[in-house]
Amino acid sequence: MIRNPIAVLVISFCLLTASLASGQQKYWLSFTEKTCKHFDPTVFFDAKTLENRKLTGQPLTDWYDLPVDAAFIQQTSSIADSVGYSSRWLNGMAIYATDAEIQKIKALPFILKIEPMNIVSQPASLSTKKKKEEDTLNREEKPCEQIYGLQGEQMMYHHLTGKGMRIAVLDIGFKNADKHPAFEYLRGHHGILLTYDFIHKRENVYNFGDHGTAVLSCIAGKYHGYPMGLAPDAEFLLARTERESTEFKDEEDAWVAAAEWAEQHGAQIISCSLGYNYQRYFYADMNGHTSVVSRGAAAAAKKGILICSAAGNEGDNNWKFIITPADGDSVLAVGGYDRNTRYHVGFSSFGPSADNRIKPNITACGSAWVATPEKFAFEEGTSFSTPLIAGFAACVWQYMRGKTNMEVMHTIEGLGSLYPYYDYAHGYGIAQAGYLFKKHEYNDSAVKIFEKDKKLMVSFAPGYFEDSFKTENILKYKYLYVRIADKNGIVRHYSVIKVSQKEFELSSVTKYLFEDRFSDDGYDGSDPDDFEYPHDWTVTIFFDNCMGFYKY
Amino acid sequence: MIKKTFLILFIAIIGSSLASRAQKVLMEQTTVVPSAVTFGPNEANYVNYVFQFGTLVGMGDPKLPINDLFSNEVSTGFKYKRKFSGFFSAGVDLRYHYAAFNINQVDNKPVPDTVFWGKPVKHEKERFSTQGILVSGFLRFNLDPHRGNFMGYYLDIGGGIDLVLGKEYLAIDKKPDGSLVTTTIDNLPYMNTLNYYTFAKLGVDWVAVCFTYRMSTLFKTEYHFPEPPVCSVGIEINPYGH
Repeated sequence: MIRNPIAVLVISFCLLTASLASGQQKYWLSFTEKTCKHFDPTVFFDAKTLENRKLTGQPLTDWYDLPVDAAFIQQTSSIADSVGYSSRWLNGMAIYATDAEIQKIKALPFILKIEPMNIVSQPASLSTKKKKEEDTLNREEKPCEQIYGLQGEQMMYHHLTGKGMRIAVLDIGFKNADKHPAFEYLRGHHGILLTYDFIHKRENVYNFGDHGTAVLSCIAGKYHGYPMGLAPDAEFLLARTERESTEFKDEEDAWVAAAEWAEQHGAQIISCSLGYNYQRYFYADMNGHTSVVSRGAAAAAKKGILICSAAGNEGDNNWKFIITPADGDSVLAVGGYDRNTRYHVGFSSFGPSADNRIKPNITACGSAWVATPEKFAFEEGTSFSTPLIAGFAACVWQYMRGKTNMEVMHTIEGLGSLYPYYDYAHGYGIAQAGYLFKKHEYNDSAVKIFEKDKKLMVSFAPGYFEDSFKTENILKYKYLYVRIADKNGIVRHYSVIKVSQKEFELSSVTKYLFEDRFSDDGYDGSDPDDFEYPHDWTVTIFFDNCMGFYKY
Repeated sequence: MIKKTFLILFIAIIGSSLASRAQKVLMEQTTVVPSAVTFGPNEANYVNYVFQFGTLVGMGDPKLPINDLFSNEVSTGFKYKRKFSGFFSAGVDLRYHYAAFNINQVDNKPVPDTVFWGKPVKHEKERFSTQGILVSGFLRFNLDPHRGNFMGYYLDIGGGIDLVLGKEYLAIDKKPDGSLVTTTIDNLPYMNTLNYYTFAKLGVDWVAVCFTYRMSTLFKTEYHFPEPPVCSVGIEINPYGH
């Protein structure tokens, strides 16, 4: 009844598999040492780099500055099919090699580690989602929220416009940024200092990819004189590190090379609206030290650069989590909020990092009025929240010149609308320029959280609840934020609640603590002995600069 | 008294509706522990919905002139995959399967007319069809073992059993007055209830090209019926994959 199988068909496929599997692969090589003995930082670095180092108390040069050993590169290149970029910070290089070639390279005495790199990537932009062209926009959608949401007018009032700051923008291209009217002011003061295309290894970055054009406009663009970002007076270094998303190449090594280039030429801030997620990694890899790009970002931070990186637009898809390099512990991961509601916008990626650090760190508007190659448009994505924060950071650093990148980063976290409260959707909340000039004022007695009849209740002090809506506040929307943290301080559950009464039960919290929490562990409620009381867990609420705690 | 009861009820309803409006949860998230993430396209376990369409190819017996182009099979169901390494996985499929074998109406068509009608008959349309449950297993070899959490490039090799639950013969004829008459015969005794398949699929992310080979005869051997082509080529789509 059974006939012979088509052996030929199966064998053909096996041969095809074998031929494909033995093909060229990309690898990252780490070298054991650096042998360079003579290095003059005053020749290699831009004067601005040296000035930055002096101002922030860093040594003029260290091990990270020394170049990769040329002999290592030469010997490896002679075996590998082709080579990518090398990194002095990571003391390594990217290569393309076959299995046979990689075996030979492995035997070289100066090879410390070989790591495979996958060959796909995509930008973090949602550039095609809900895109509206200029002609279809209402007046309200013009670039107000992206500025006022951060209280940008206060930066302008204090003449903080990024003057004296140098920002590098790493992106997929800056099509027409050299001609676009949005950058007329920037070009007028020669704000674009250097450009480099790390894909084609040439200076012109204005021919391919419009994502960078939009991103740059969110830092320094102007729409008929109206600011689209907060740092129009900053200086810029533009680097193309990524191809269009339809092409299949991995550009993490180009990103690291661009970050080194930016630091060499005096950049203090890097705005990165690109990231890598499921195409090479797993959520467990989002720990700040697995991906090449996150290691590059960590090295850049060590060299004094403040990295603003997009949290990602994965909140409403299968990945859901932050992307790399936003996972780095010294990277300011920027999430997005909804301009209509001013809480988390659905697509903005969630934290924490895989090792449970707070991510995203801060939030800005998740949609923006941006420059497109031809005119202007309204686009969504944390790609645009990031440059808004990069511009904000430039103003903060201008205000507190002499502070280190990490001090500025922690200052920005402290300017969050929710600070010191945080969760894994908003970080410390929306960055608020006002708190830079007028300190946060907290009132910890106005809101109380307590248990009543085995239910968790919230109540406001007499008059406070009504008064909080009468007073002119920074944020026109007021929500109750609530989080549940376990005994290790890891936030297990968090929510945003709109409240309309002075006292009520936190039903979602009660439900999580005593019902939902156990369904994940297989507890069905039938055996009371299995029930684990939330020992040492803390419920924290935040409402209009008031915080309340309840500890189990 | 009735008025008072209604008043109390009304106040109770209004009161409860106000209480329920005391809070509106706008956003709620439970933190996912990385070690708990074991489900995904390249995680330890994955289940995805698939749809496959194929058409017959190759030579069948000339006594049963099958129209290859219009003889198709579709299947739809769920596929479970268990990952063992970046290179190797294995899985099982459970699907509904439908196959139709349309017969060309050539002159002096020997089969099945001479069997059924005793002489060659030209119909407007004539076909055999089967439908049933297809259970299969496969081995998956990924060509990009260092990929992240996505399906990637893969080769599946496997085999399956089709439990045929419906067997039908259909003939459509035109009467002298121009009207059509349809003749269907169900539960055909000369068709096998179990069919065996082997297949190979070469895929990338959400789409795969499939080659299927029917290892068993469609008709029971004791009936000495000519066989239609045994190979099909088609496409499998995983609409929610990436």
